[in-house]
Amino acid sequence: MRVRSMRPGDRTGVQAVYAARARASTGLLRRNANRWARHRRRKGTRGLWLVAEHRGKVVGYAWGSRDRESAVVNEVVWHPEVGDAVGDALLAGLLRRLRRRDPAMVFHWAMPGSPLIGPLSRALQEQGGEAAVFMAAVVNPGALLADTRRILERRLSAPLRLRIGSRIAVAGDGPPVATVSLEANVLLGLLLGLRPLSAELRWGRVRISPRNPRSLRLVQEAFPSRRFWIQDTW
Amino acid sequence: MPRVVVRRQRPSDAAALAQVYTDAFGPTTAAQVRRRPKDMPYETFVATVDGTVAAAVTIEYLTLLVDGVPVRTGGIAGVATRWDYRRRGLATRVLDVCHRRLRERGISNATLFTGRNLPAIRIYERTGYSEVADWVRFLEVRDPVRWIGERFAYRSEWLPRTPFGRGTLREWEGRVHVVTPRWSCTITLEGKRFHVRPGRRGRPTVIMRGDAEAVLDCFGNRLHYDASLRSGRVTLRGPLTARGTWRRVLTLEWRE
Repeated sequence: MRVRSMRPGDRTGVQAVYAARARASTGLLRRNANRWARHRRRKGTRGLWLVAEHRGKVVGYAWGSRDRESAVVNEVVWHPEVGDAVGDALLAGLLRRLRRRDPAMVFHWAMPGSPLIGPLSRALQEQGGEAAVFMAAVVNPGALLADTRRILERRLSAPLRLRIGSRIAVAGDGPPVATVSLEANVLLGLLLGLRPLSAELRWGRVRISPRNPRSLRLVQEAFPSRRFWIQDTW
Repeated sequence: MPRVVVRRQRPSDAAALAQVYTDAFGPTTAAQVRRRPKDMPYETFVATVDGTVAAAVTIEYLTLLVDGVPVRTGGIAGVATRWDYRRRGLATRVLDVCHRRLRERGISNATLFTGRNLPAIRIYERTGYSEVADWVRFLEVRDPVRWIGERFAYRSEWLPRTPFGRGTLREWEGRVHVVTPRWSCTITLEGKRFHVRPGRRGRPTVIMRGDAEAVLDCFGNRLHYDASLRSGRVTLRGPLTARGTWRRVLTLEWRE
């Protein structure tokens, strides 16, 4: 594996890496060609797009930017089937380039669900400071149940009934094995990986019926402990 | 009673919207308002008070991927109110209209980014934004004094654009000495701009002491600043009024 500057011919490979990571994550944004182009054209990014190549194939990429006195690690993403060593190598390569112009500070904002947290904590210092947050609200509980059903049909091995107040949806075909009752915002939090299921069960904000090990296993399948992670802001 | 109307943005609103965005985010021209990125569909709603555009909210129609499954979201952005129309609930009214619009389009959720210490967070909590993920900041401060200089260049740009800042520029003659075990600097306000110089320069009005990490964490973070003072990780000496002004300048509390 080697890390090198990105070439125009690598674009498809870069987008394929992002798409593969999105299939194994919760929260990444679907990017169209215009958004990719906007990232590539962003000011201060010249010479700061890198790819990791293994046997002629792009397996990861990184890009950063410079702004006045600061240098930013914008994004480091690698294919979920290759190890974190690729992330470490990409981050190291990017940091080397960013430091060349002697910035006063190098930084990156990451979400706790980001695979980059490990490489970052080995290369930079974690710090509080100007705290930024992502927030989400339910505006349409019926549409949320429909979204949930589409996601759970991919995750579940047996049908599950979901209940928000008087609204009911069943994910999967056939008679449901269990019913989960919860409020709409709790469902959104679980779906996006913003709330851990174990805490919601403990506090009684998620109720399972019937309460037995099989039902619990099914609900754990529905809401795995995969934390939210997003790269783009708007 | 002033007449408040919430409606979709019109092309003729560009100049008025530029004023709203300038108050909230910094200098914005009408041309910039017209030149929004076109990589995502979006709609902007405005609140007018007796015909004057006073607040705005934009919805970007985005798609989050959950295990690769697309989930549409209303990305809320550009939540802004003119200085002279704040604290009248205008942003809340525009947000309510945006949420109704998302419901009509069959979208289940709205999402946004904000600052933990910005007053706007209370509006979002009130309007139902209960699901939260914090960002974690990783950094390498290579030259803290130069970095502080950059932060204060930003404050110099911003201060004249806010009522608090204009008052500060007129009255404050503060000289703040920031001291950590490894470095120190002096921050002064001269000719409407902040200047940051290494070491101690002149007789300080306020002295801020602490370990480097705690001091740097206070920049732009009121919660951290207050907690650091309470725990004694950061100490402050100087007259009460000067300390109060320093707190607001440092933590960006004036950028409301």
